[in-house]
Amino acid sequence: MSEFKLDPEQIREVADMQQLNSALLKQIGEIKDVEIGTAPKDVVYEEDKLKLYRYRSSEKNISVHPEPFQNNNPAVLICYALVNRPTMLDLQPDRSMIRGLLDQGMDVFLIDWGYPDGADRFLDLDDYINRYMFNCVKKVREVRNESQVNLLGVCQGGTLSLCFTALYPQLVKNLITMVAPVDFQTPDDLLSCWLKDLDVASLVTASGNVSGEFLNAAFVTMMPFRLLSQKYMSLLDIAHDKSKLENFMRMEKWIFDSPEQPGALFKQFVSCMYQQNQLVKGSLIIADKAVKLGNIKQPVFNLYATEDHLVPPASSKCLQKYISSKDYRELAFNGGHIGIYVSNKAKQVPIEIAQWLKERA
Amino acid sequence: MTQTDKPNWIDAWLETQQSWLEKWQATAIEQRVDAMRVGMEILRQHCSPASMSVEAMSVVQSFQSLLQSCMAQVNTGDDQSLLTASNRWQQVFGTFPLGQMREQQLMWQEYLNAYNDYQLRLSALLQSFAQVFVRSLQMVPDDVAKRAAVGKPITDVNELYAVWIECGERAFANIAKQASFVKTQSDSTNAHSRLKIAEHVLLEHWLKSNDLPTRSELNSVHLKMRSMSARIAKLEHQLVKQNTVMKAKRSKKKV
Repeated sequence: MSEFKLDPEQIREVADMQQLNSALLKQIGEIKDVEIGTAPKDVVYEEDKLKLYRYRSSEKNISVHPEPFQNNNPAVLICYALVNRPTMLDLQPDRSMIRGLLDQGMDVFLIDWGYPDGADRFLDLDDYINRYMFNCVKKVREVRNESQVNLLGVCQGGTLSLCFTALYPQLVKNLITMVAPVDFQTPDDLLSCWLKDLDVASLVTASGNVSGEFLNAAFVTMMPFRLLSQKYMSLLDIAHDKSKLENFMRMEKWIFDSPEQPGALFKQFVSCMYQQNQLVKGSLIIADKAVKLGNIKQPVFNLYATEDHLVPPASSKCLQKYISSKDYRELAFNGGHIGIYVSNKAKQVPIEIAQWLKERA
Repeated sequence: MTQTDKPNWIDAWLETQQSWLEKWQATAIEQRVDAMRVGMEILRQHCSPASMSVEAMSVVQSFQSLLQSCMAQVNTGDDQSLLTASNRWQQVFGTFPLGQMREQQLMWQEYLNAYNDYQLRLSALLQSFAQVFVRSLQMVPDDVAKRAAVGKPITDVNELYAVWIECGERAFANIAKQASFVKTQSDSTNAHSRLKIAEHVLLEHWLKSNDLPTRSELNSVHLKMRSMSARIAKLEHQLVKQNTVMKAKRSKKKV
């Protein structure tokens, strides 16, 4: 190994880095908090820890309380995942899928599953689909005075929406799935590979609910060098840009706002979906009812991200093979699992969704 | 620029990383010993002389001597001693529990076995990550040379860091789906679950002895509440249905 000599240029580089470090620490110290999920909304239904929100019209900013407001544009009910929080869909005013849909005149409803705790550890797919989702759909139908809803399922929420639509096809007019896993055992699915030999029954017996920290650890380990090191080192590049730092903090606030997963649901989801791939095999049973994707005959709009490392494109793209819809459209978003909501290119996504729904209103 | 005439600060950086890795590996080996230290500490706290007979104390003391000999063996660090220590460990914790404290002994045996098992499996997982780290550093000089060959030599630490991250992700991607890594990772997680379960057993025993509610009791209450909620929902649904039928019948009669 050669002798280590520093020349003046390298000393200056180290000094510059120290200055950047100081500037970064100063800026971070000045950012007290950042807000996410700020689009005005009202709770229209509550059950246990679940809240069903209806977003206020972006033009009128009208509250639904005390009198329900009329919106003749199509409504869409968003079913988010149980992993992380739905604030991703409204991370900041200029990067918000929800505001994008509102700007297109959509009447937007969203299911927020809340933060399950120890008392919820026995909730399973039956509770989430046959009770919570069913009751939310019922409420939206009542509020809108319509017999069917347009359902938009996001990530794991997309899988739940597929199950719901397969079980209650008469209640869903149009179905939209975004980065939703369908085939859980595609060759490029790293998460599936890792979960193959997991003793999920023991995990749930040991931990009750599965903590957000556990899931986060798994997610960051999928790209350990980038997500545990480079991501934070890159802060030095934006040390002098408060606005960009705040954007970073918003994302960080969202990523590490991680609800627990109800133990029974987690066990069922990992075992039935990841380990046995029952959704595409047609062997999934929820509360004695078989979930058959072939029952889905309504129009389906399937959006996936080409660079998605959590839900590989192949896992979502295969949906068309298993459903009976004659009206099926796919949109390949050139980006990652999160970029589909918050990147600059993502601004087109709500426009595409609204357009597709209006054509089928 | 070729690999041979790369700046000496790149070598210095690699050397620093290697030395950090060596220290980290030494710590990983030390963790195996920690498992036994923790076991001894737990035993010492649990079996206080005030609450034990002379005979029980003597058993505990001989048990502690055995543990100490295990630790001394492990401290020598070579594979043979680790194997001997592991056998001794099995000997101590595989002994059939006897006497008045049989149940407690069994719980502690299970807990300490689970702890030891988890430490071994975690250590294997950390070794896998250490290999990725080593591989990432080994890949850096080649990547630096490749960049130089196409006229994009590394000019500052930031660029070198970005190259290392790229190498690290490639090195990790190479092993991430390998059956051996997947097994090592699952083994570690599953061993952790077994450790937590053994811990629960001890905690529940302690809670019961102090007349405090246990998780098992709460679980049975929550299960009961869940089934009662489902029954109430079913009854409410039936009631709504019946009311609708009754209303329809009444309105027919009026007509």
